[in-house]
Amino acid sequence: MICVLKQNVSGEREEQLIKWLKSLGLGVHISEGERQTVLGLIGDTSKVDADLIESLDIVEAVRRVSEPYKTATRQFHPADSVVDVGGVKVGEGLTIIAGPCSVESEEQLVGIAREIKKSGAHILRGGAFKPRTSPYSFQGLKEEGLKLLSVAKKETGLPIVTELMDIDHIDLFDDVDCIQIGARNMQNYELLKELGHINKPVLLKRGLANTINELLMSAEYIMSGGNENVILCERGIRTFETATRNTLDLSIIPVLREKTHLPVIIDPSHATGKANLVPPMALAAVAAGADGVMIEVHNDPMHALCDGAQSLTPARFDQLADQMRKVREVVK
Amino acid sequence: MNLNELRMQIDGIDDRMLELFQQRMEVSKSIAEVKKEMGKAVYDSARERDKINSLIAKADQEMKRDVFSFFSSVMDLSRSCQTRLLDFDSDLALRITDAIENTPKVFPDFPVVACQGLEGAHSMLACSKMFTSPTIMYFDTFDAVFTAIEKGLCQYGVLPIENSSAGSVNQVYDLMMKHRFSIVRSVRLRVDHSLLVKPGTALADIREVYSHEQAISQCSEFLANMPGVKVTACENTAVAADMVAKSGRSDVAALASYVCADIYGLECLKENVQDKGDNATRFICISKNLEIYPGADKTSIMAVTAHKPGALYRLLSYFYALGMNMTKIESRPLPERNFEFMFYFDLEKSVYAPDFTQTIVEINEACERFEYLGSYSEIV
Repeated sequence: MICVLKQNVSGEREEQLIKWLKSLGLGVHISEGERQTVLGLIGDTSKVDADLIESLDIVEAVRRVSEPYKTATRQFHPADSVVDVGGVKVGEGLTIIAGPCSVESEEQLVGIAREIKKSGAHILRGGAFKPRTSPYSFQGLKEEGLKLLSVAKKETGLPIVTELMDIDHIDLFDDVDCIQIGARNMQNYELLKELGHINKPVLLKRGLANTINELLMSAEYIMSGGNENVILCERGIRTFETATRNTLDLSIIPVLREKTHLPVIIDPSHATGKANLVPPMALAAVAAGADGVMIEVHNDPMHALCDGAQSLTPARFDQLADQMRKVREVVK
Repeated sequence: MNLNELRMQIDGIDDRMLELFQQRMEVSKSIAEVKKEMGKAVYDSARERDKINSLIAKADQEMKRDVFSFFSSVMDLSRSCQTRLLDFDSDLALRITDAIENTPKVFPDFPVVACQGLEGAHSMLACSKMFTSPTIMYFDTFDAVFTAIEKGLCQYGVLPIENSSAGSVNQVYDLMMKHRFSIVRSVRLRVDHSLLVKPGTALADIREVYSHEQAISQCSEFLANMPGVKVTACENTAVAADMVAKSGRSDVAALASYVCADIYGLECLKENVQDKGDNATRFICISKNLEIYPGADKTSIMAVTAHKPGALYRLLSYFYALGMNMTKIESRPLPERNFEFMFYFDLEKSVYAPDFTQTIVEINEACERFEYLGSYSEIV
C-alpha cells in the first residue's frame, strides 16, 4: 500500500501518521520526492483502514500496490534512485563500467584500468571469484584477485565492482565498492538476504532464464533487509537463438523504467559473447535509456584466461566510449 | 373530624407503611441473595407485570391508576435495592471506579488530536482552548474523527455537538451510535462568523456565499438581507474560506471565523454577522478509553428505553432520585427501527457523589440499551 502525502505537510503531522502506521506493525518506506512524499507501507496492510488515512487532510491519495515487489516498485519511490558506488552516482548520467572478465595479474589489471580510465570509464570491473560452467576452467585468482583489484583501485582511483559467490567471503570484500551477484546466483535467496544486511551497493544480474518480475523479486530480497542500494543488470537470456551466446533483452530497459526506480545497467559482452557484437549492442542500450553499460576490456583478448572472445581491446573500447557519450547526448 | 385528628390518622398509617416498606425491602434483599445464587437477573418483567395486574384487580375502581403508580414506584425502589446488592461489582461500576482512580490528575498538554475540517475551522479553535499545544490532524469527516481515535491514530478527537442558536449537530449524535468512545472534556466556544472575501471584493459584488450549514443557519437573518445571493453549503467554515481563496471569482464570500482571514489571505468585510451576539457552540473531546479527570461534574449517557408508556419517565426518575440536573436531552431515530429513538442525556452531578456509580449502574439495568459516555468538566 502506498500513501501519497500532500505538498508542504507539517513535520509533526507526518511523523504522527508514520508513528501510527509503524505501531500497526508495518514497515514504512519514506520517499521524499521533489513534488511529493510517498509513504510505502510494507507488511500486512489488510488491517489498515485506507478510508481513514485518505480522509486525513495531509494525504493526497492511498493506493493498494498489487506488485509483489514492494520496495523496488516505482509506486513506492516515484523518483529514479541513484546508487553511490565509491563516489560514482549510478543513475545520474551514463555510467560506464569496464575491465577484464577476470583478474589475471597486477600488470594486466592496472594496465587495463589505466586505459579505460583514460577512455572515460567510471568503474573498474574484474572477476576474482569466477562462476564457470566447467570445473576444469580457470576459477579466478580469488583472494589474490581481490588484492590486485585494490591495487588497481589505488593506482587509478576507480571504484571496483566484483562478484561475490559465497557469503563466507564477505570479509574479503571490504575494499570492494560494489558487490556483483552473478546471473547464476540471482535466486540464491539466502545469499540475497545476507546482502540485505550490509551497507554496500549490489549489482544484481538477471538470471539467464529468469523473468523481469523474478529479477525484481530478487532485488526485493536485498531491499527488504534494509539495503536499498541495488543496481539491476541485464546480461542476456537464453533463447533458441544460437548465433549469439544469449539474447540481449533490451526491452527490459523501458519495462524496468516503468516498474522500478532502480538504475538499470546493460552488459552486452556476456550477452552476445562476441566482441564484434558488443559495440552496436552497447550503443543500442544507451539509446534505449540504460543508466550504464558494463563492457569487458582486455589488453590481449587472444590470450585472456576467460571470455577473451567477447572482450574489446582498449583502443576499440575508447572509440565505443566516445560513441556512447554521443548517443547519450541525443537521447537524454 | 378536625384537621388535627385526620393528620394523626395519616401519621399512624405512615408509621405502619414505613414499617411495612422497610420489611418489604428486607425481603427484597433476601430475594436478591437467592437470585444471585441462582444466577438470575434482577429484572423479571413477567413477574412484575403479573404482580401489578393482580394488585390493580384487587383495587377499588377509582384507585386503580394510583395503585398502579404507587406499586410501580415501590417496585422500582425494590429493584434498585436488588441491583445495588447484586451488581455493585458490575463491569460498568468497575470501569468507572477504575477511571476515576487511574486517570492522570492533569489533562494532557501536547496530545495528538483529530479535528474535522481545516486550519481555522472552529474545531481547531475549540481544540486550542482545551489543550496547551496539541498536534492537530485534520480529517474530511466527523466519522473519520471517531475512527481515528478508535484505531489509535489520534489520542483525542474534538467534535461540535450543539449550538446555542442552531441546536444539535445531528450528524455527530448519529455517529455516536456507530462508534465506541468516551467523552473526557467539553468546551463552550463563542462562535463569531465573519464575512470574508478576497481583498478588493466589495459587499455589493457578492453573488455567492459559502459556509457550513450550521453557520448558514446561525446567520440566517444576515443572509436574508442579501437578496439574490446564492448560499452554498460546504463541509465546514474553513473549507469555505479556502474555497473563496482558491476561487478565480471575485464575487464570492465565506462565512467563517475571522481567524480564517489571516490563514487564507482574505479580508474581513463584516465581523460578527451571526443572528445572536452570544452565539456559542459546545464541543466535546472524545477518547478511546474511559478517562475521568478531576473535577468531572457532567455526565453524558445514551439510552434506548422500552417502547411502552412510562419508560422514559422511569428513566428520568433515576436522575431525580440522585438529584442530577438534566442539562440536555436529545433524541435521534434509530436506523432500521421505525420511529424508535436513541436518547442522549447530559447530566450535572459530581462523579464523586456517593451514589453516582450506583445510580449509573441502575440506569444501565433499567434500559434496553445503555451507553455510559463519560464524566467530564466543561471549559467555558
